[in-house]
Amino acid sequence: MDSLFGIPLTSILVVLLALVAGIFGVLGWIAWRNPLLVKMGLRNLTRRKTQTALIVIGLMLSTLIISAAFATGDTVGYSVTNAAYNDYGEADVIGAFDREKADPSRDGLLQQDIDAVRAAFEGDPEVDAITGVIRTPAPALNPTERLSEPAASFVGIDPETTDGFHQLIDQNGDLVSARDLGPDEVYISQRLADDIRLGVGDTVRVQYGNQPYDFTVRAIVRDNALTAATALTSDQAAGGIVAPIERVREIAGEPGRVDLLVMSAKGGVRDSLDATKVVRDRLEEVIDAQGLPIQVISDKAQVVEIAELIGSVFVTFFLVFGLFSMAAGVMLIFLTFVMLAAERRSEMGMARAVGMKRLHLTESFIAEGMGYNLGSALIGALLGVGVAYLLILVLGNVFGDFGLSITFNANPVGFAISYLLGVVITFVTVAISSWRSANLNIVRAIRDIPEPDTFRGHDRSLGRLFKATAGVLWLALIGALSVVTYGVLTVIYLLLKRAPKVGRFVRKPGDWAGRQRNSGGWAVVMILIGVLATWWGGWIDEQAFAYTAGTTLVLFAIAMLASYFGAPTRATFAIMSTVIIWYWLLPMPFNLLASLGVLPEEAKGWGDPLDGLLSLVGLDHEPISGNIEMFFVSGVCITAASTVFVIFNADRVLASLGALQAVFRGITPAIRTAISYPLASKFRTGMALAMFTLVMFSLIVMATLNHNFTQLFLGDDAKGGFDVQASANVNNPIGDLRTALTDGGYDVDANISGIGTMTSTFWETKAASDPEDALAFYRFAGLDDSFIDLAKFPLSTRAVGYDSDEAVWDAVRNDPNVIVANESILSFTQSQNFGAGGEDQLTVDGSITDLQDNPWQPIEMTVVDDNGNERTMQIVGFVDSAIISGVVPQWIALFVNAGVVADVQDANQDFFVVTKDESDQAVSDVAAAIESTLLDRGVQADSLTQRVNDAAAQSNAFSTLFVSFMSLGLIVGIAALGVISFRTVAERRQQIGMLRAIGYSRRLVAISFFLESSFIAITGIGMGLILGGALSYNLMTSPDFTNGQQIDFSYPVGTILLIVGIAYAASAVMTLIPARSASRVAVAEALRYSA
Amino acid sequence: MPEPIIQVSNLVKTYHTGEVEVQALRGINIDVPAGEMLAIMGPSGCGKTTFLNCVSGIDDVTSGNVVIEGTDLASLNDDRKTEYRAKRMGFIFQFYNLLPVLSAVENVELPLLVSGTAPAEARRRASAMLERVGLGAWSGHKPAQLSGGQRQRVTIARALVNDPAIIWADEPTGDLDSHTADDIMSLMQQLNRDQGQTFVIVTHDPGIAERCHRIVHMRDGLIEREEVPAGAGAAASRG
Repeated sequence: MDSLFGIPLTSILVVLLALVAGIFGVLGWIAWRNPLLVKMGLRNLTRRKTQTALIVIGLMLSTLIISAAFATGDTVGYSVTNAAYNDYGEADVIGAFDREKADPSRDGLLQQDIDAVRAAFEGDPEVDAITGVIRTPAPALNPTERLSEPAASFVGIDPETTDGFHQLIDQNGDLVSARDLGPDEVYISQRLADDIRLGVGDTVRVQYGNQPYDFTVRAIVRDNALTAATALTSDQAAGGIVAPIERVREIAGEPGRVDLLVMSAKGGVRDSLDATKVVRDRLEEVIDAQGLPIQVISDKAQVVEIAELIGSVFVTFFLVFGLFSMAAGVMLIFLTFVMLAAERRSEMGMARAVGMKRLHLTESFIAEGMGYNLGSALIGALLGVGVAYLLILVLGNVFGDFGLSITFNANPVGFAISYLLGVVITFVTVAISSWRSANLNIVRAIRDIPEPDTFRGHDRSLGRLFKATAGVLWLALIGALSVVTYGVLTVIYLLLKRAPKVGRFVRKPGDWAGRQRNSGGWAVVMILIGVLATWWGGWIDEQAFAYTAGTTLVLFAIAMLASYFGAPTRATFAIMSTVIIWYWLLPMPFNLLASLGVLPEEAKGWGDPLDGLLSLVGLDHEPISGNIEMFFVSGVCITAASTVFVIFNADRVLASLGALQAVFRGITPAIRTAISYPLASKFRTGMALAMFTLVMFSLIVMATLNHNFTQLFLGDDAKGGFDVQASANVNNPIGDLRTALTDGGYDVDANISGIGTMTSTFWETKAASDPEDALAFYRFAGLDDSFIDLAKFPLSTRAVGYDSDEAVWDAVRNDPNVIVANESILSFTQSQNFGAGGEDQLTVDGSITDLQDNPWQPIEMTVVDDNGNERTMQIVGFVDSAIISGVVPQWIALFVNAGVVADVQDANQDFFVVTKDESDQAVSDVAAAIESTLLDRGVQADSLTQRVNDAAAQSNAFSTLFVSFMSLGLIVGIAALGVISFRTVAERRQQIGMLRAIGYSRRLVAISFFLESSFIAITGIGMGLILGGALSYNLMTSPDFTNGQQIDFSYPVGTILLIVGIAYAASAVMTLIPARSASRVAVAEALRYSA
Repeated sequence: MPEPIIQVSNLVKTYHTGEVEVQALRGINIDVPAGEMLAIMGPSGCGKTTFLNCVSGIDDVTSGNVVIEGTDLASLNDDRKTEYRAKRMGFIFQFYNLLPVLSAVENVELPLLVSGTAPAEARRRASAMLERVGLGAWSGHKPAQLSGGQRQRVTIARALVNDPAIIWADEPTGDLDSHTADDIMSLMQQLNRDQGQTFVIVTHDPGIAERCHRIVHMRDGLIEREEVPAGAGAAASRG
């Protein structure tokens, strides 16, 4: 993997190295100026070893997640690249027949085309070898064991020109040559040998044109582009039978036939990428110059690039899904340092009293923080590689189903980036929290008196608010100008050199966030930023994340401002947080009210009240779009709002728990203290709650969405009403399956209630409305009447004039100009899918929801058939997306009347069977019976039920993988609880002593501490459940999100219970330890203890 | 003379801090009759607080016997000792040791709740006790919102709310100005007189000690001497 988010990894590395150098510069400067401060900070590391261990765990998690993401992505990229090298070997450029450039009388490549290319490249130093290959599907049988592989490739290679590729490698690793093959001898590929249990000397039967041909296996060779259809060089991956090309031509009755042009660029397997690009370009020049009917279909360099892109996509995915955990990790770092500061508040007050400046305290904290940081980032990066290894074990199984072998490979650059990024993130968080912690009042700190309400200004005048705002803006402006003018490193240098002066300067403008701690200035700045973000996201770049985050920021800032001016804090923040939650759950609140009849039915579509209001004055914005980042943005906003709500209102709710005291009289005092303490420390409780909620939210949403998407796409609907798919071999046509089976002795009437036939071919097509568009190949699937009768293909939308699905299918049955399409050809769907789109892809403008919401006329399509004849057809309906879930890949097609494609030669023929007994076993039995009855015809039959189950299992495996990765965040939440719990015990030692003195038993003390931590865990889990559940429901019932699919929404109760159970059990274990240690505090000693 | 409510014989307490052994109490013998207000004085480090902790059962003794109301504390396990403290003892500390997150009335009712009193009854009795110490109007305030004297009154209310037989006070006026200290001492004298509870007060302040029935002077872990203040009877009755 060379880049991330489009930025070269080396650039990222250089920037991070510069930043870390800056950080070390800061540390060095502190150590040089005030070595005592560094000593003070570092000595704190060993004060409490358990606490230090917890802090290190907390700090390392962000790094761990980043490192795991990199190592996983590197491994996937490396494995896919490896597969590309193995599959291609020295076959660097592959060309195939191009009908567009060919004489109409031609229907394939001929040896003369290959010879022409060879002549053009004669003496070219960049080319090692050129050959022509036949690769055609033909069933292979092991007649001795009655085993068959219907999808095997019958490969013909030219003995005279193939040796230059060094691709025929036997099981001993030795090169063999096609020249050595006798008239009835073949090589078979390893995969085929494994599939039908063939060994050297055995007989393999190839069925071609409904005739059997027996060969003796001379050797077993590796699967690659010259010996089989591999996963990367073909859309099928099955083994191959390799014979001299002349023998294959003879069997096919097609002298001179060639299917593929294969070229080897100068160099070996791994060192020929640059030469490959050169050869490809030259080949294309030759093709154009000589008018050869060849098109380059793939080259190794391109596949390797795609492999690296896939690796990068994996890193991106894991990083995005890890964002929740990283955010929780950053909060944990912040919380940890805030708690450390609280612990040392009186120490710090004393230090300030004897002459230490705020900057000194900050520096001491930074030194301590970096002491934790440098070690924990390294441990985190190393553990991340370990976690990636575990992920790869799971991934290996999933990818194994796709025929890809995964080899663990962690790139040192990725590892270095993870470490450095971890150091930088932690440093920034530590610096901010240190600065905040050092901001204390000396007398209050020494006497341990709480700080005043931070939201309320001492002087609430507009003048002071203006000064504070101007101060923040002034600093931002100076900072931005400095960075732009002098660059980051120069600014860091100047800041270091002039730190005391800068410190004084920073505090002066409006005393914006200094000793007065007023929030008014911040609120105004937040409003400005929020409005800008909303404007940019809504009206400039149509980005949902900026629009929604901006409005949320404004709402929050309004509450801060109201509180600054004296509005009651509780009520203000309760209202604000309710509004934000409501805003993020839109349109669900409107839906509910509309369902209750309070609002009109159209209210169900109200999702953006701001836009609704502005539309009244004609200022509404264009539709905005969001992607995977919205998952994170929504999680953060909704979690922040709900945490604020709980923290400001929990005491009211908990007051009602007084009723419980009558029930649990024995532990009443424990309940009393367990509830009072968390609510008294709003900040730390809020942070811990937010962490837990955020992680639970992400897990619940992920699990619920996956569950519902699996239901949606991989339910019974995906089978389209059929049970078995039987595919005929193109070289051994069947005609009528019922007759073939009956002839083969199978009792059709006893087992099968219906058979539909689908004949398909690839034609060129495009939307007629866009003459500029290029024609693109797309599968046209002709359906016979029986298929239409049996199929259960619901439609998402129909054109005007078609009142029902039946009307549409009747039109297909009767009108050769009618098409039923699917949403994958729509531009909106393509824009949502990674890697989709492009010049070669069939695209029709629009989205399913547009078509559903607005009546539409039949869409005219220009179609060019295989004879070059052009015609116009009309799309009159779109099938439900469950049909194109991939369970039957051939259904990703334009459905037409069977007669439309009836005359196509070499068309693919698929039969879809409805069985009489629909049980899984019976369906599998029918599929097996069809395959064995038509063994020598190479028919491949599969149970669709089994395919649905396999696909669902794969989907679940991926989901489990991502949920497991995201659940790393749980460790953060649990570590947070641990940090708080251990800290609490140390902090309250004297109070524990007092409680024990006045009669609290050990048990009661332990229960009190346990309940206190449980309060945070249970509330966080509950909030995550409610918010995640609500948002998931909202998304899955939104037509925009499901592309118009109606969904029978449900929650994955089992998975959710498992997540909740693990989260609570782990947090309980983590809090039991400090609770137990609290209960064992020696009373007299504790009473003497000074925190 | 009334029956002794506290009987201490040969009380020894040794601390082990690393390799150093510190003998904090070196064989104390003392009887305290019920209803007495006893002051314990002595220089810092003489073992006053250790004595109070050992006799009140919140610290273990190394050797010797402590018998309270006829019960040998050594014969009780931790739970029974804790229960005994909850029902029969009250504690007043120099730095109040109130729970900062609870209001005054909630702090006062804690010992009642621990003893199994119904919450409503606990609240009623706690409020009444706060009235009694002159803080009825402050019952909903948290400790941070009260002055030092008020906090100590809350502590006294908490110590007395369970109607204990003995109140242990460790430097109850040590963190207060002289005027407030005088008020607090007067309050304790009044409660001692009205309710007949036994007070054991550790103090540095001769003015406080003078207002008790008896003063025990300690030095180096031993009782050096005892004295009955000149105005003991008058002071006690003056309240």
